[in-house]
This record gives sequence, structure tokens and C-alpha cells, in this order.
Amino acid sequence: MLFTTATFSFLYLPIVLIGFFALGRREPALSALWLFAASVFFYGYWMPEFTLLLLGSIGVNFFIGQRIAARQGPARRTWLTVGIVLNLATLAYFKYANFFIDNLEALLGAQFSVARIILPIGISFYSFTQIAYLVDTWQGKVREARPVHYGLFVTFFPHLIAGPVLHHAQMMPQFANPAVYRFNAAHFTAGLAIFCIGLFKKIVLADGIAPYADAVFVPVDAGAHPDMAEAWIGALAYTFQLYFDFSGYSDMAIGLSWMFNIRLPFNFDSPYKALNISDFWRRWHISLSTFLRDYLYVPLGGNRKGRMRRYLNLGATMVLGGLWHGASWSFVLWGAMHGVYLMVNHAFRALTEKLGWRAALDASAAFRLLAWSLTFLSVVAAWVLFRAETMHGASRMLQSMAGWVPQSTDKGLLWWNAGLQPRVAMGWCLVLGVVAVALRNSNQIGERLLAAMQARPAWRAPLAGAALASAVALVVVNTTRSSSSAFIYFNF
Amino acid sequence: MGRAPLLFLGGIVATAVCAEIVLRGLPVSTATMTGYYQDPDILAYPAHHTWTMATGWDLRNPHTLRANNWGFAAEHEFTADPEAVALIGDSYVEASMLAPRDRPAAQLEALLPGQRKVYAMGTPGTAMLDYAQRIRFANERFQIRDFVVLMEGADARQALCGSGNIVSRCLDPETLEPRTARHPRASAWTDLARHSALAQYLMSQLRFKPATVVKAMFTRKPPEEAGAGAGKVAPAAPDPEQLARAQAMVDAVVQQFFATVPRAQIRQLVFLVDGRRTSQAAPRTLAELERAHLILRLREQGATVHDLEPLYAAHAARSQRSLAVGPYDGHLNPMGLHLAMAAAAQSLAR
Repeated sequence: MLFTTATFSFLYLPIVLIGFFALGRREPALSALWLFAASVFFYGYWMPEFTLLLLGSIGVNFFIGQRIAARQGPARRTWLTVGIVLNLATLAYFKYANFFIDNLEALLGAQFSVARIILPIGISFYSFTQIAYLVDTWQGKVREARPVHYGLFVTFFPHLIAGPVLHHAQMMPQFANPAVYRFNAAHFTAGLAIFCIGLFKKIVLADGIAPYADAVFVPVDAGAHPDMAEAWIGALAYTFQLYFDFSGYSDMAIGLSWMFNIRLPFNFDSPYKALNISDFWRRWHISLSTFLRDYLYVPLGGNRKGRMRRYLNLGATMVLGGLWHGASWSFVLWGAMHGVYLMVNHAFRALTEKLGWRAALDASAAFRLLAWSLTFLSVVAAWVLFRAETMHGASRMLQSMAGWVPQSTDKGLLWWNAGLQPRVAMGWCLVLGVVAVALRNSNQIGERLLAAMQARPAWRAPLAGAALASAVALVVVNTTRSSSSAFIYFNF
Repeated sequence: MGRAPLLFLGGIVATAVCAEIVLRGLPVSTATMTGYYQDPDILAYPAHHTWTMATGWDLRNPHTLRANNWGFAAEHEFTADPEAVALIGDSYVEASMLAPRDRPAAQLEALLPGQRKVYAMGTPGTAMLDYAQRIRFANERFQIRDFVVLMEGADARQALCGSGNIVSRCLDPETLEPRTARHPRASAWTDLARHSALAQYLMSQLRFKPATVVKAMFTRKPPEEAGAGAGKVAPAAPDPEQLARAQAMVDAVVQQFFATVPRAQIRQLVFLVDGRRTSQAAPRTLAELERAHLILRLREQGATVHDLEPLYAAHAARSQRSLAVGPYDGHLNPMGLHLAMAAAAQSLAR
């Protein structure tokens, strides 16, 4: 189910909210069970055939978590290994088997008659969430005895499909708090308002710019060569589409959770304001970056084993992070590209510190502008690999962006065939760029709203009315227009 | 009523007011105010009325149009001029999504020798029998003798009552007898809504119907099905009975068309028939066979008919450029219109 649909907003959400708070007044445990059941229904509504896989995964991981918590000595490590292997094997089968077979076929020049495997939505997110739970349990950070709360932690519908990737410790204290199951007008109103901001980002901003990215990437993947302007505008359009699509989804997930008195961690912090690539990764898809740091980069040795090893660890983490997004060489290359960016960034920082330039550079407005520009352009170039469905397509895009356009290219062909005007595309990019770079982000707006709703009860009713009217209007736009799309991160 | 519900309602009203203000600053389509001002069978705009047209929820291709002295979206005021050419059709002729210089009348006028004026008489949502009324009207009022009709292949079928493309004369879909089906007068609610940008956005840009939203609420649409187009299924070959019925319908429409137009007063009647723009090799559908029959019958009546498909095919052989406004709008773009208008200009020059 999509948050942007009439089914979700006008039917599912009101029913789940009413049931949650009605049951919560009598018995919080029943309310938690209701929300768990509703979350499983939310998942099964789209992919009923994979609901058993989800429930099986939850059951097995809960059982292994119990074993890890109950045992002492080497048995704990054995159970942890079993759990991680099971999760990674499931993920590998559903997500990477097709990729493996395709590459094997290409390598051997053979054609295996093997059926294609369908990727269950959200498997990357719920697998990583549960691996984190097993590791945290092994490290003695958590111990969970209530299966319903565990099931709810994994399936809680706002984050189930596309994150954020959660830590057990972030959620369990909340599920155990009886106040969570009581209606809170301040949380509800602020949550509804943040949900609206997310809807606006997705339905108006991301879906508005999407045709301008598709107009370039789709024909380029099919063999066309864009001119330089088309390539740049297409790449910029996708840069903003992806940000507003995914951060819009995250805002909706956070807003919905607030309505249920649950706080999810922020997943974005104005990433396009970043002044270097490390800063970018502290602001983009924060929950995944944190997961990769805590459960991959640090266990690999992090920065504790010398400079060269640190760079290698960075590269390996980013390549695997790329592969997490999807089973294709373009994602691997995208990850590798960011790995190289990070290595260069760390090396540059080390050099400037050694030369004693660091403070002067940080204080220089010109340097900050240069750093921002370089970071942003590097990210845009890497998104080309992320968006293109073929390596040839990505290569043609990057060539054109670099100014290498074949003589025979019919300039403006891609815009013409899409019935779109480049000046409108540039206008969209400019507006979205200003929103992404110059305005407050939704985390800041949300926190201020929440504080205002708590401090001024009289403001709740008008804000709730305004937010409800806006949400209804946006869902109506999405339902009645001819084009609407799922969230990009649903594919991962 | 308590204070909180009132404040809640206040929030809703404030949002509606903000939406109205924002939409007034955007090029949302405004009311066309169409009516039967000059003739009971001609739907037109009020003389010198100005309005805005844009496509879709994101307001693509916005343009401001202005009606002339006779209520048509045309560059010229209409006066009696026997040397003028009337360009008749539906939204293909009005072409509100294109810049004025790219619209078909402007292109045809530029292609014609001398100073001949082209009177754009396009009315969106009309079909063949309405075109016949406009030809009669143009001849009666402006003494025009040369006509170019830019039409779609389905224009005969759209002349059946209830097709949604009728403003006056049509044929009963069962009996094929002539009938009249004029647009009803706008309701008081519609009159009121015409002044609101928010209402116009809902009705004109989104074509909002509560039933659509209710249906969507109860329709399960998994992601893999969401983008699947029903049109991708290959159409079945038409059965002979269906084809015979379609041909009988075309015959009746053509007969009624020529019974309406003042044939004796007409010097040239040129039809430009839109058609398939790509993959000419694919099997012909019922609609396309109906179109071929329409072309045949029009030629039998002595009209000059340009089947645009061969022109499209020749274009496709030398260019990758599309002839449609875009994937979201199948109307001819300036390049497609140029092909059609060049063909018309050639015929008119004879």
C-alpha cells in the first residue's frame, strides 16, 4: 500500500488509528497487537505471497535472538552467525540470484532455463533491521521477551517498506510505554502536518520533476545520445527527484509515527547542503549510513588499523552499500565512486591538517562555496550511475555531461519527443534547488511544530484542519491525475 | 458548536483560501464560457473573451487565448471574405497547447501564396456533423468557399449522439437517424465555480469526480500492475459483422455531412485525416478500417482527401522526431501540423 493512495489515506489509516487508540484506552497490549496485525495487513495488501516470508523471518529472528540472549559462551556467537547467515542468505536468494545467474550466463556464454525471482518489497530493510537486532542482542545491548513488540518493531508499517532502518533500542522503550497507546493531540496534529509535508514533497515536487528525468534517462538507456544540456538537466532533475521522493517518504513515515506517538529517527538532514562527501553521508539516508558504519565499517576495523586499511574499509563499505541498493553493476560502480570520493576527501583533510591549512580553509567563504559546488557536482555525477538502467546508458550520459557529444546527435530531440520544454525543466530544477539548499528542512519544521503544539493547545485544531484539508487535496491530486508512481526506494 | 470544531473548520477554510490564492498565481485553465451565441448549432466563446488553457495536474503548455469578434479562438477578426480559407476541426485546429505561431491556421496562412487569410474555426469536443454546421455557417456569414477540415480517423464515430464529442447535430447510435443534442445551460454551481481557480483546477486540470476517488479507495493496485497499460494488449482482428456495422455508420455520417454543407457554394473542400504515426506494418484495428472506409467515402463524394499516414511514414523514415505534442497529449505538434498544412496548401493552390 502506498501512503499517497486513497486506500491508505481515506480507509486504512483512519481505521488503524481508531482501532489503535480505542484499544489503547483499555489494554495497551491489545493495541500493540492491533498495530502489528494492521502492519502485516499493510504489507500483505500488496504482496500477499510474501507475507509468510516476512512472518517466518520475524519468527526465526526472534527465536535466534532469544537463544543468543539465553546462552553463554561460544554458543552465543554460533547463534549470531546462524542468524546473520540466514538473513543474508534469504536476501542473497531473493535479491541477488538473478544478478548472479545473469553474470554466470554472460561469463560462460550459456543460457540457463531458470525462472526469474521476484524481489519481495522491503526485504532489504527488514533483513538489515533484524541483523542489527541480533548483533545488539549479542553485544548485550537489548533483550526482547515480547513477540508482539518484536513483530511490531520489524513490521511497524510506516518504516516497513522503505525504512528508516531501525535499532531495536530506538523502538522498544516506546512500545513499552503505556502513554504511547493514548491519543495525544499535539503529537497527532504535528504528525499530520509532517505527513502533509512528505505528501507535498512526493506528489508535487518529486512527481513534478520526474518526467524531466525520465525524458532523458529512458531514451538514453534505449540507445539515444543526449546533448550536453539534456544530459545535465536530466541528471539534475533526477538528483532532485530522488531527494524529494525519498525524503518525502521519510517525512511521511515520521509524521505517521508521530500520529501513533512513536518517534522514528530522522533519515535526511538537507544532504544537498553538504560541504564535503563525508558530510553528505551524514545527511543522506542517515539510518542506512549509520547501519553500514556500525555493522560493517567498524567491524572491518574502521580507522583503527592505519590509513591504508581505513581507505580500504571505506571502499569496501561503500561498494557493499551500493550493492545493497540493487543487484547490478551500476549500483556497484555507484558505491565504488562514493568510496573513491570518501578516500579523496579523507586524504585531502589529512593533507590540509598536516599543512596547517584546515582552520583557514574552513573560515573561507570562497572555499566553502567551492567545496559545496564540488560535493554537489560529484553527487550529481554519481546519481547518473544510480538512475541509469544500463552501463551504456550511464556512459552516454556522463560523456555528454563532460561535453563529448557525437556530431550526429539531434540536439533537443529528447525534450521534443517527450513534449517538454528545457526552460520549464530548468525552472523546476532552480525551484527545487532553492528548496533543498536554502530553506529549513522538514526535521526543523517538525520539531518546531511539535513544540508549538505542546505549548499552545489552541493552535492544534486549526492546524489539524489545515493539515487534513491539505492531505485530502494532495491525495485527490495523486488519485485523479493520469500519472502517479511508487516511491523509488520501494525497489530496494 | 464548541470552539475547537470552529477552529478546525477555520483551518480547512484557510487552506482553501490559500490554495485559491496560489492557484490564481499559476496558469490554471480558466472558464471558456462557451455558448450558442451566434447560431443555435455553433458552440463558440463570447466575442473577445480571454481565457487560459493548460494541460494536466502540472499545468503543461499554458497559453492565453482570445476569442475574436465571432467567438472563435482565431488570430483574425472574421469579416466577409470570399478569398479566405476556413480551417474547420476540433481541438486539433484550436491547438490551445501550442504557441500562436505554431497553430495550424497560422502555419497554413504562411504557406498559402498571396495574402489569403485563414479563419481558424476549431471547436474542441466536436465531430463531423458539427463541422458541417460550421462550414454552412462560414459560407452563410463570411461567403467563404474554400474549406480545409482537419480531422481524426474517429470523427465519424464521434458524430454519434452520446459520444461526448457533440455540440449540436448527431446521429442516433441505434437508428442512425439525425438528432440534435446541444450542451445544457451551465448550472448555478458551474457558474459560481467558473470564478474559482481552485474549482477550475479540480474540474479542468484534474477532471475530479468523487466516484473516481471512491473507486480508487477500493481498488487494489500492486506496484507491478500500477504502470501496466491496458492498451498494450494486441487488439483482436475485427469481425466482419462489426466492420459492416462500422461502415454503415460511416456511410450515414458522410451522407448527413454532405446533406448539410452547401455543396453548390463550395469551391474546394479538403480533408486532412490524421492516422497512425508509427509502426505502419502492425495489423489494422477496427477503428483504422473504419477510418479507411471514411476516406473512401469522402473521396467518392468528390472531396480532396489527404490521408496523413503516408506523410507521417515518410517523416519517420528521415527523422526520429515525434509528431505528437507529447506522450501525454496525442494532438499534432508543430512539426506534424506542418506536414498536414503543407498538404492542404498544395491542394488549395491548384
